[in-house]
Amino acid sequence: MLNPLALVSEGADACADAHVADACVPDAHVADTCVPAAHVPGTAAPLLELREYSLRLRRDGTGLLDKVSFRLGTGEIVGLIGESGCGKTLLALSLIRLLEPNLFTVAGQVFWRGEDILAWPEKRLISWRGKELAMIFQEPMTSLNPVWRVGAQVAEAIRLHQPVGVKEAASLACQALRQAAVAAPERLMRQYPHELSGGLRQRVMLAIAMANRPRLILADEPTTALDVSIQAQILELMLRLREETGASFLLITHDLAVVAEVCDRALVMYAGRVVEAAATRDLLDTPRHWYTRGLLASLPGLDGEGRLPVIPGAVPAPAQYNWRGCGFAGRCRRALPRCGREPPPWSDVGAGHWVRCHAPA
Amino acid sequence: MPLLEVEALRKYYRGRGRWRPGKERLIPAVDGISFQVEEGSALGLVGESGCGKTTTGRLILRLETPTAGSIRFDGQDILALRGERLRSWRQQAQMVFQDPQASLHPAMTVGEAIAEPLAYHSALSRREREERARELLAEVGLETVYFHRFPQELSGGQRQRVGIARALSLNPRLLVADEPLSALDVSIQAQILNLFIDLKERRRLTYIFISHNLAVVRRLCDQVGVMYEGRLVELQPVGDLFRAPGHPYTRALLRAIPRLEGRRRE
Amino acid sequence: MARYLLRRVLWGMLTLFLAVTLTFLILRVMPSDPVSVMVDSRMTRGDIEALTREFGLDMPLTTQYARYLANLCRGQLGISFATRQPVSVLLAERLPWTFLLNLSALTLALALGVWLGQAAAKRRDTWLDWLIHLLAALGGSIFVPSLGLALLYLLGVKFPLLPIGGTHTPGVVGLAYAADVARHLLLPTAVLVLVTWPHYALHMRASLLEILRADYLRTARSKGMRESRALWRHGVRNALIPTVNISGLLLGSLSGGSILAETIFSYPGVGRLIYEAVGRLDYPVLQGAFLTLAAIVILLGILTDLLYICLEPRIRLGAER
Repeated sequence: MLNPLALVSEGADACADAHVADACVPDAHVADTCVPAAHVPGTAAPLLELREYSLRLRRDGTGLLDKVSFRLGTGEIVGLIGESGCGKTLLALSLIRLLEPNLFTVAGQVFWRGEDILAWPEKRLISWRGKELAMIFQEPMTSLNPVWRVGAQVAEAIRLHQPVGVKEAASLACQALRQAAVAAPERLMRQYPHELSGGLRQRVMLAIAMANRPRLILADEPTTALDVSIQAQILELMLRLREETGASFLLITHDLAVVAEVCDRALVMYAGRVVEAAATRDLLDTPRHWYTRGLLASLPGLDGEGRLPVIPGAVPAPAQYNWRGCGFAGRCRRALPRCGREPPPWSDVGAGHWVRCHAPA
Repeated sequence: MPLLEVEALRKYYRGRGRWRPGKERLIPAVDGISFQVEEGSALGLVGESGCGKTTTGRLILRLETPTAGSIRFDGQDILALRGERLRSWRQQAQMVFQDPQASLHPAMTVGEAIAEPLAYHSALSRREREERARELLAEVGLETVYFHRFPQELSGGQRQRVGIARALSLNPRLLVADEPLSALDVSIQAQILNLFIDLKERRRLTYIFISHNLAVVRRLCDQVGVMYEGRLVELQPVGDLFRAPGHPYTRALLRAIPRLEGRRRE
Repeated sequence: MARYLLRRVLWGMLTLFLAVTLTFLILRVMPSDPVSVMVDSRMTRGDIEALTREFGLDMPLTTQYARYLANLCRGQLGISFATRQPVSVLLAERLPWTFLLNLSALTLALALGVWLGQAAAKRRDTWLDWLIHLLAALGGSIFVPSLGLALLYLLGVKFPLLPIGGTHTPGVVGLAYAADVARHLLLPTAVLVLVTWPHYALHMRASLLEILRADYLRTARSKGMRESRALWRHGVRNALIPTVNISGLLLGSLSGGSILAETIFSYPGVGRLIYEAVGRLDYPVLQGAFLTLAAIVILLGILTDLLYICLEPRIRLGAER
């Protein structure tokens, strides 16, 4: 289920493919704001759409996210790739609006089924969070409250959004756990988190997230802390849940192989910006951004031997993000003089494959 | 003669229930494993969490006492070592941890952390120790500017480099690395993995490399031991293991690894 | 569990034994003679010796100690030097009042401490947090008698709203009796609460600040829970564990404070009894009272531990590696 990508610029809602390039070219400033987004066939509005979403620290104005734009359709699994410190987790926490509002300033728009959630009052957010949009976290060991039984923690999520009694909530919780492929949900309901393995805890987290049949689940490195065999089970479970409930996933990971296994499309983030967007196969077979290439090369496959090619250096701290040019220029082997000075524009390199690079591969 | 010979190593823990103590159970963490490692080669220990691979590493370094079995290092029985001889043996075998943040003192600069073992185990002057620490810093690929930084000012990859430099400060012959890459990003993993490969060649270091990532093990290790519930279910030279995995568990492990070909969606 | 409880009780008994012995020794090495307090000018030398013999004070210390222990094992706490009543009768009269006072003080201090502590944590580094901190520092450093006398003067004498002593007004019955008891209880309880709550509040604040950053609180918020509700269900509930745990440690200082409070407010509890007995060098009463207080502190200590085990599912009793 590959989705063709289309360009959407400010004010141009239905941007037909032929006119896209024209709409963007006129001046450099507009080119910078032109963004790739998924055109989801058959749906009037995408489930989630970000338009030039930016995030800064209120205290000193440090930029954290720079004009992030993408669309996510119903039933899609989209991967968000990048190293730690690129802003992936921040983006997710910011989408579910769990960041302390007085520490950050936001700009741009975030549309949820056509409505701008940045304008929503807290009351609306509370009835939306956990019901329509849920999140699971990287640390299954610490994400569950150690003093409540598992059953209570799942049932709590249900009672927050559904008008059911204690008994009914418990039976719904049991169902949710069964759906998350827990072998003996009745027994698990009475257990405490510390009695469970990491994989089982992540299943419980998935059950909590799925309990109210949300439309979208933000999964922040859900398998990074788990063993490979458990990771494979959790990924398969995500695919199955998508089939059964039609839910979409935004899967945050630094492991491209995980993306390859489950995602329809992927976005690559670097230093607070999305730098490449494409259908998964396209991205992995013909990566066009040098950062994506570096990430792919540094992945130890099962058939290689000896040293790995690496990306030199590390992601800078947000205060050192270079947004006047290409954020990756400092680590890029192919960097041109202008890479450090001019922000690269978005370019469509074919078949809905978008890249933000002055000299794409 | 192999540098390290482990024979029928066992470690049992005692455990009890919560409210009702009931009968004491013996829980086998390591259940009779044997292997040999030649000097300058690397043994990878792989398996899921709880399979006993970390305990094996700790037993070899005598951080824990085995219930039974023998460990010989360069021909001598290290379980019989006491006092001064144990102290001098400890210099020859060092450990690198998964989370360097937790194993580095937050109030000690990078330079102090690297030089610290030298203060206990060598007769070097303060100046010589500092000189040595600078050399080590260069060897693990960190610039000298980091000498006076504190661990919390470094990134995960840089901290792991410091952890390695510290382990190398006493010129050990054996390095036990316990999941040294797991807490790092894929791109940083590659950098540190290359560092391990370099050090192995340059220093003729011997490794026990504990990991759950078979792909990493393949690039560094000469032989691989697959552990399951405290037992070594398969021990093979690295090429053979990937070409023809013998044990069904090994095959399951290999199958579970996510691949760029992405078979799961089809 | 049974084994843990048994071990805990055995330890408690050993502690009690040590407390008894120490009390006994300390009283005997004090440089005053209880008989001299009872003597009046009309007594002859023979009377005094008879008195000394009657109370067994002429025997060697070891024999006195052995007899005391033997009586204790039979449940006899001795006869008061001063009133000639059995000590157990005296204690039985006073104990319920001490219990009432300490229990209400403990509960109120815990409730107040938890509430102010969570408020401070929730609004850390605001004026409210500073105010609570200031009040806590004040309350924690106040000397019970000074505060007690000040309140007594203010609310008992200057504006006589509350009774200045006793536990109840004789002759009052029914609902009025309960209200009367509460009125008598108010001042001493207030003093004890005022000096005890800061411990709970500061502990609560510190634990909660840590929990506010915990991943499971983030999970609770991501379920769509209101901040205040998430804070109580997942924050305060968890922070209660270490807070309850310090209750065991606070009991000692609380019972010390209650001796002072009972004395000042003439509240006839065990504390007041001790104060009276010290003046008369009434060894049996002092020993009995200290024994009772020690037993209560130890018993409540065991109860706090049990409560802690119930609250904290991660504890595995007797598990060792």
